[in-house]
Amino acid sequence: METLTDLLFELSNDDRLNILLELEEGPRNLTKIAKDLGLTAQGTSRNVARLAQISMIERNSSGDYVLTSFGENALGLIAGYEFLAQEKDYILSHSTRYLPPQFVSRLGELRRNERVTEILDVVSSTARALRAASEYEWFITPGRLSSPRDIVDAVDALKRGVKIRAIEPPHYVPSDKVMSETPREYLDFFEQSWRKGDLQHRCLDEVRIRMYMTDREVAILALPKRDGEVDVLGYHSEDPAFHGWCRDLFEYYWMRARQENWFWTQGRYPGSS
Amino acid sequence: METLTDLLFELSNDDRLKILLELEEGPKNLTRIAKDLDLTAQGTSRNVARLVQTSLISRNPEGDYALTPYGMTSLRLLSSYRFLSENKQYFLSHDASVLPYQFINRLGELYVNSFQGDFITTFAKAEAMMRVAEEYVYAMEEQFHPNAPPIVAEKLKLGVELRTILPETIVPPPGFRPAAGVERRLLPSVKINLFMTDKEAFFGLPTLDGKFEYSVFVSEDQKFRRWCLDLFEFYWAQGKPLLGSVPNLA
Repeated sequence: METLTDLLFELSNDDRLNILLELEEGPRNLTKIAKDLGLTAQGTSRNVARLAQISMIERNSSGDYVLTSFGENALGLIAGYEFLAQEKDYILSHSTRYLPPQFVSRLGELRRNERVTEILDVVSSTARALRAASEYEWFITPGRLSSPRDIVDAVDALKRGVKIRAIEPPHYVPSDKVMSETPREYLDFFEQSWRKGDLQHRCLDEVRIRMYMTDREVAILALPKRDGEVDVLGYHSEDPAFHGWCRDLFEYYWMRARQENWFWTQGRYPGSS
Repeated sequence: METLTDLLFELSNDDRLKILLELEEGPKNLTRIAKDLDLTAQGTSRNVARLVQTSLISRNPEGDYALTPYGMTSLRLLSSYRFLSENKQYFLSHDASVLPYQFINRLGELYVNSFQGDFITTFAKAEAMMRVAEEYVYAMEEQFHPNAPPIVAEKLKLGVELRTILPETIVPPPGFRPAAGVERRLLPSVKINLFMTDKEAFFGLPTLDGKFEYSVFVSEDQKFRRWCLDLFEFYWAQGKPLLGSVPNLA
């Protein structure tokens, strides 16, 4: 464990971390490092020596300091802790326990984000994202924040050629209110799209995260609260790395979700009372 | 940056790290922690206070200490650092920057492994793995394995799925005839050594000057194999299907 804690110890110092980040930009000599970072020559010399001692940096043939391959990697992994530190209060009140472990390891990819703290912002964010979508809308939800507006927006998107994939709990049916207030032709179009495969629908027994994304952005990613309860609020992002993480997570769940031979536009689930 | 370095500082102490790992097993009171870890009561008390102060652990109503979600997630992220630091010499002499960042973040999954340092052993290992494969053999290679064709023929009869990713510039050994029935895709270059079956997998990074390497990490561990499989699928999706005969045959 000693090598690990030694490594973490060197990274746990603001000055040394800044020196590493500076060297990520390219080779630097001692003077330049001290000058660019506003540090004393003595302090810089001491910190550089420490970083060289654990082989995070080394001197190249021109006498400049560069990151070693090891150092570059160690710095790359910082993103995960950066995310944690940045989102400390969110992480303290939510659970990563329900995420597949490989996605917890990759949390650093979520660090460019905007926190969404109002339900209205969630609604407007998802509606706006859907309108701007050009290829697909994918979502995973324990139960949609459904209004007839959602269905109308989805139909408009489908007509534009946007493909929809949805993961919901088994036998999900929108509320009677939504069913009765949505014009029949929209429900019919929805069903047709499902039959044609433009709208694909699968089920997972346990759905605790909520995620709406399109080919352009992630409208909302909401992890469950600390006690496992589903949350509506979470993060929004247009960042490519954030998007990649969400895409991979959706594909992970999609591959494990079941197809049902029934869609809620047909009325109650066959066999239910 | 303060929260970040504070967090790393708390994790960078052997005793505190041990306490966190101990609490991963379940909540414990101070006395138990000190006893199970063979630490002094005073030292444990001080370290526990620090961990509470930075919200990595908290006290529950019963008076036991438990990991917070912040603490739990911090430990999860540690596994990749652990793999990196335990294989420091390897990472000093090999180039991990060729790996997509998603897979660097997941390096912790490679934890259970053994290391094979030379061409002969790895070469023989690949052959041995192929012989006992029952479902699939996926490989990313810079050159054909000369002993493969008869084994491939036998595997195909058993319904084993065979896929290989090769560099576009590949020149097969003179007189070599690649086996039919293997699905092949091409990439502009192949730097990572990747070989897996339904039972075992090995993986190796290129040297610092970009040369394909035969010293590899091998494992039968499920997480290790999953990482390799996901990495293979990542490159497979980018590969250009090779239709017709292999180019540059002599």
